[in-house]
Amino acid sequence: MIQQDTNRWVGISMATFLSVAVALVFTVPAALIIGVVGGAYAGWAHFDRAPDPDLSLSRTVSDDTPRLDDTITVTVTVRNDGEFLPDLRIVDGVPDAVEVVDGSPRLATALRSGKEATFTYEIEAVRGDHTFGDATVVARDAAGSVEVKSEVGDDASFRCVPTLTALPSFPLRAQSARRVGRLSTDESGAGVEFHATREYRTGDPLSRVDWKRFARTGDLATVEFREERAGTVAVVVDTRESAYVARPDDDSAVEYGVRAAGSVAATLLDTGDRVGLASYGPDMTWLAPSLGRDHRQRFRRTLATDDAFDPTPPDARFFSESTFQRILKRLPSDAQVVCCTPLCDDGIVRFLRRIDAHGHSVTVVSPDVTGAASTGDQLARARRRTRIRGLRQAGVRVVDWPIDEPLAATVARAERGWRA
Amino acid sequence: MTADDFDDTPPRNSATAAVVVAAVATLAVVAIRPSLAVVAALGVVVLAAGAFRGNRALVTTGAGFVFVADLVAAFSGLGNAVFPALCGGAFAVAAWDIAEHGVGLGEHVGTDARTRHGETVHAALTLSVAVLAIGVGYAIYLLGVDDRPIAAIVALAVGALVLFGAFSD
Amino acid sequence: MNRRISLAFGGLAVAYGVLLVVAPGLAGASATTRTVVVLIGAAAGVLAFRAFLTRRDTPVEYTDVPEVESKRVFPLPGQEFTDRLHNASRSRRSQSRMHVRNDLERSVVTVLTTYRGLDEDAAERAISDGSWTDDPYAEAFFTRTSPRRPLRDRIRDVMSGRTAFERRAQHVVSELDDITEDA
Repeated sequence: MIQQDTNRWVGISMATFLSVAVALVFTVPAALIIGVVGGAYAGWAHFDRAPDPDLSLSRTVSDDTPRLDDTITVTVTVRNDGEFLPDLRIVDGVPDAVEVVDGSPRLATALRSGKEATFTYEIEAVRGDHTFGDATVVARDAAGSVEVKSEVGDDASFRCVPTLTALPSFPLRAQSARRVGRLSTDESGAGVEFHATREYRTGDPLSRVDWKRFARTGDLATVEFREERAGTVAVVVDTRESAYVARPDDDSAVEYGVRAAGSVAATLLDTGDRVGLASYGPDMTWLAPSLGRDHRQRFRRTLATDDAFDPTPPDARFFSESTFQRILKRLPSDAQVVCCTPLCDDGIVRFLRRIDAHGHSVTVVSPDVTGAASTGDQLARARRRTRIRGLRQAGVRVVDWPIDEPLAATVARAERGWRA
Repeated sequence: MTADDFDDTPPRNSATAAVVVAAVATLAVVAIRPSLAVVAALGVVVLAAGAFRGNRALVTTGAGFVFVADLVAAFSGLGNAVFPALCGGAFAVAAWDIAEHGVGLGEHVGTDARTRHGETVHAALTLSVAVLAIGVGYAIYLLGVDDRPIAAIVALAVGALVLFGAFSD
Repeated sequence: MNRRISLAFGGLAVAYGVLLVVAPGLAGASATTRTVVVLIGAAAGVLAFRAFLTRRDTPVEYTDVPEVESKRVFPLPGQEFTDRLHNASRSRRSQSRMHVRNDLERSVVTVLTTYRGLDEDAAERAISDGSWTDDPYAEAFFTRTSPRRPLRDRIRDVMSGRTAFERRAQHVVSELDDITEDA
């Protein structure tokens, strides 16, 4: 608890001194009586005791597992467990990454001992785990000459794990080794190379089920092909501090990158490719490429709630070399990389070129958060375009995503361009 | 929504109440000396501007004008001037208190928050102090300050001054 | 200590005053002249003025409360450059302007090599002889010449508080934006 004098009533003595001065100098006895007014107020200000707040707070959240952009109603109840508090101001601890869309998270009231006050406001659900902080309480004495600041809270929280919405398609790069499935192979007419069957696992694509065997024996078995993955993809999201830039009043490029990563992963998982997840930033996170329903759930949850993809920028130091080595080490040899990054600095370009040079084809999905809102912004836009051109000239595919457009439309357009 | 979401305009209730109380003070002043109406009214206008916009300096200046007008009205001598003069002075200070309280509320909780209960309690308290001051002042008057010796008045004045100095520091 | 004495003195004076009010007969003993009364009144006036000064110099101090209604706001891309350009344009030391010039030069070289197929040397030459652009301000940023400024531009600069350095740098950036857009 922090107590401070407000200095609100400093100068009230002016009223009394002036009254007395007028009364004595001009012989106006009535003015002397007016001096009582200043005296009364000064006494009130001086003699009131500082409050000693003893409060408890509880919140109810209308939905603690909301969908993205849902409106959540927060109801806050504050109870006075101590003495009468004539002047109470409460500011609720709305989670950092969340904004209030209706109502007010603040209240001014007076509370008798044992009484409760309630107020409600609405917030918009944002990806991730969010915990409410302590509410800030400022209690004043009746005259307002002293303020006592304290904090009170509970553990209310909510978790928003957005669903992954797939795109109509997402084209992968050709790999040098032979592949089956959606990727183009170098040899025409190459058939499927049968390898082995294993027991069917829930989540295996139905196209891989050995139906002949099922017709014969009634057993469900999944066919494994040599180098069975149609595609092995690691989705890498740029989560360095430099990626936390945005257009005015908009979400950060990291947020757009996360959304893109989710869409790309959903698209590829739906078609039986193995998809993994990595963050390129101070907080390293890694999900090995895999498939199946469990993996999809894990992917979705990690993307939504892992610290690496936090809506607020990291303050830890980033070590580009060791991060590169760690990612490279974990990448399966036949994996290709889809990187979601705003391309707002050269460091990410160096990283991608190195990954590419080590035999992992790279596709970049880049949300464009640049504009001409300032000189630096305009320069960033020019530099970004230059990076994109440079990457394309070096054989890296870049999906330049203007964020006003749905990603599906941008990818479709890019696909037509690559096929041509 | 932008980063400057928070609107720190004072709640209208307090601003309105302050203006009403200041108007009552003005009426008291005008009852004694109609010629002071302009000064007092000007004070009310300045106070209103400060109270609705959240400007402390204007609030204090406006209330100050009303109070000074009230003091000048007191020159009219005793008799029927005392009670209105007391009211004018007390309500000028009360108006200041309510208005400044509102400005502070705006800064702390903003214009969108519910504040009515808090404002009501505070206004009731400050008006009680004003009424008390009026009561005590009038009682002293009734004791008959009129024809008392100068010495008494001086002693009272000195005493009050010194006590005041002691409290204020 | 001081306060106790003041309180005691004040209390006594008030008590004496009340006594005299209640029992005026005692007053005859102490005669107070008008002068003394006025002096005390003047003293009160001085005290009133002192109180006014104290009020003026003592700001109201209310507790700070956090701003909770909004989401975190993120910087625009290139915010660092915008700030550096702003400071360098107004700094007395020319070193910061040199850094900005070097940075922009590197950007121009990259753009020219990527979009116009020049090699680095050719790009640098184009910058130093001004052939990379038609815009006189952009050209002047690197060649250090002073292009003639039409009156309308001068007025606009004064109104917006822009320095010549800033204007030229902004034209360079604009040029880069145009070159990269065409592709």
